Amino acid sequence: MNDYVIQTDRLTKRYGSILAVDELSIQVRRGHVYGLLGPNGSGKTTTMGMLLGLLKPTSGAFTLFGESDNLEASLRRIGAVIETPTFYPYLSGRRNLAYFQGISQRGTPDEIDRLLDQVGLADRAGSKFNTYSMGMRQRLGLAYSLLGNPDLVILDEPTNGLDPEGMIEVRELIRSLGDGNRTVLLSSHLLNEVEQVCDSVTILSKGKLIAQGSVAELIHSVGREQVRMKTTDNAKAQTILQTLDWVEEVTADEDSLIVTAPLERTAELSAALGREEIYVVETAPIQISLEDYFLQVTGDKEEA
Amino acid sequence: MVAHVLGLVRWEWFKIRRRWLPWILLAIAILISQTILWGFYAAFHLTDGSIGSLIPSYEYASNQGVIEVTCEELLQGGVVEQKASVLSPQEQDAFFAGLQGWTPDCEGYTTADESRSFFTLPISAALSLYMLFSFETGAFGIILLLILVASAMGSEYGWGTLRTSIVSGTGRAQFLASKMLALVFIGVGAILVIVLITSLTSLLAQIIPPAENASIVLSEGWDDAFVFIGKTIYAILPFVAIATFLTILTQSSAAGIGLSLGYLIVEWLVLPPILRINDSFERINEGLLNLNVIEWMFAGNTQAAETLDVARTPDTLQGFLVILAYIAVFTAAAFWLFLRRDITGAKGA
Repeated sequence: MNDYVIQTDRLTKRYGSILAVDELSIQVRRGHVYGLLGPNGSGKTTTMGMLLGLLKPTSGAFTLFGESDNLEASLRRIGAVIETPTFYPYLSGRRNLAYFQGISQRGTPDEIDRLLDQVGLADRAGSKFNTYSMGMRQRLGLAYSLLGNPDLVILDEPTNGLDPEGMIEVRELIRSLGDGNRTVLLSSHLLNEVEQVCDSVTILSKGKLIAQGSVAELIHSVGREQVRMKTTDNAKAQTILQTLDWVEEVTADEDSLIVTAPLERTAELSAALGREEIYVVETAPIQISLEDYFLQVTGDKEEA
Repeated sequence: MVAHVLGLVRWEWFKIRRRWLPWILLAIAILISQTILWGFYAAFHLTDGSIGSLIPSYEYASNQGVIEVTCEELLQGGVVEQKASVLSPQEQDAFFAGLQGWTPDCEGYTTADESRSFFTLPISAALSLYMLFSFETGAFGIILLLILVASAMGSEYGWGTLRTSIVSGTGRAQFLASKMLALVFIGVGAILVIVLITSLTSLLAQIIPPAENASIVLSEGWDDAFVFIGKTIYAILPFVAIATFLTILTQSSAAGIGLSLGYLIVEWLVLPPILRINDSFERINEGLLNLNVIEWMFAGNTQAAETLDVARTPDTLQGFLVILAYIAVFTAAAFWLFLRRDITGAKGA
């Protein structure tokens, strides 16, 4: 059994003079929640569109479930929503799902009400789609993507238009989808969303692959560990800590100090200050977020 | 593959029957056909049985007084000659010269029996289709069909549902095939509904109003009527293909409807007079769809065609082949474009 559900090989899409996706090679492993991260216009949706047979690649190739020559069969194993979920406006949510279940032959009609309930649309299942709010449309899109319990779920900005509570629910749902053998490919421009939901991430900028790997690996690769400290005398403490050769940098930040140093030596920082009768009031490690990483790598690339 | 496409046709019907537009278009088609039927009915009774009597008669002022000739008399052998026999040879020359000039007025003349057949079966069923689909009477049926096809296809682009359908693994070719088949079936269904309603109201028209001894009389010629219905069904196929292709080309309902109607108008009204400018263009004229549809539907020796006086050249084979060519070319073009083009998001109506 192929361990990768998606593999692309120098996948490229060009619209006239605009290069939307530039020789993108990615691999998505089975059973992961995989994030496609990048600012608007970075090529996330175009990449998904090519994988789903909506857009014809200019060059390059890709495989789904290890196969490249039977896209329609592969698509029947995929539940996907690209950009805004689009359904027939004059049909109810339930009838829309019944229609797409019928034409795709994914799953059975019995599961429609269960899915509507799962995404919190049971009460409005009989209402026409054109009366749905943006959040309800997103939920219906999620229910549609889960028809037939697909092996791969592809979601493009799935929390767009949701209120904060809805965002949390949907993220939890997506997280749970990735349990077991199912794979989720999620695109987002929201870094915290990807960080909360995804195991692995690919970062795109202007159609190019910037970085890929597990979220933890990427953050770790930044290589900066910092501690925020509050002391009884910040000015004197800054002077003392700067004399330690294993401390990289000490900067003042309002009523705190930001100390760049290995986290495992935080106790030694306190001890060094204690010897000079300066006491640490508060100390906390600073988490390097994916946002920091993203800004750093995209900034680096743009500068280059 | 075939079973899959037929399954998709069923789902096309699932969604299209829940739209207002097909039912509104069907209602308009029924309204037009009923207006025609009851119009003939009213004309028949208002003219005391002969719609042809509305045509002014030919009058010749001679020394013996005014000699009047009606269309009915003209069509009866010997009556005109008998009336002219009282005239002098010189007056006869003038009488017949004038008669010759008036004769074309009688082309649309119908006898009482013919007039009655317009709203009685089976001619009424054929007539309702003729009036709906003939280019000589506005081609309203074809216009309604073009609107239906372009709207059904274009709305998939407008709403962005085409993308959702393709992503679900339907297959582009299967999706388009099922869409076109469903629209053909709907067109056929509409034709049958119109024929059925016309048949029922034709029976009604025979027992009202209040003529003494009113009774339902079924004329002969049912075979011809069924042939006519079959020909009409075949004749709508190229228009389904044309509207589908033009809508895929423009990816829009409104543009698809506009271009389809534009095509119809150009082919029907603009090109024929232009092509008559030069005899060498005659061959091009023979390839125009609307002329061949007329030939295919209304030519031949069927009783319906004779009664309706619409028989043109008897070359139905050419009509059949030209229609087939249009179906093949536009269907192939629609598939070629649909299979190759990128599908993007909702474009709005």
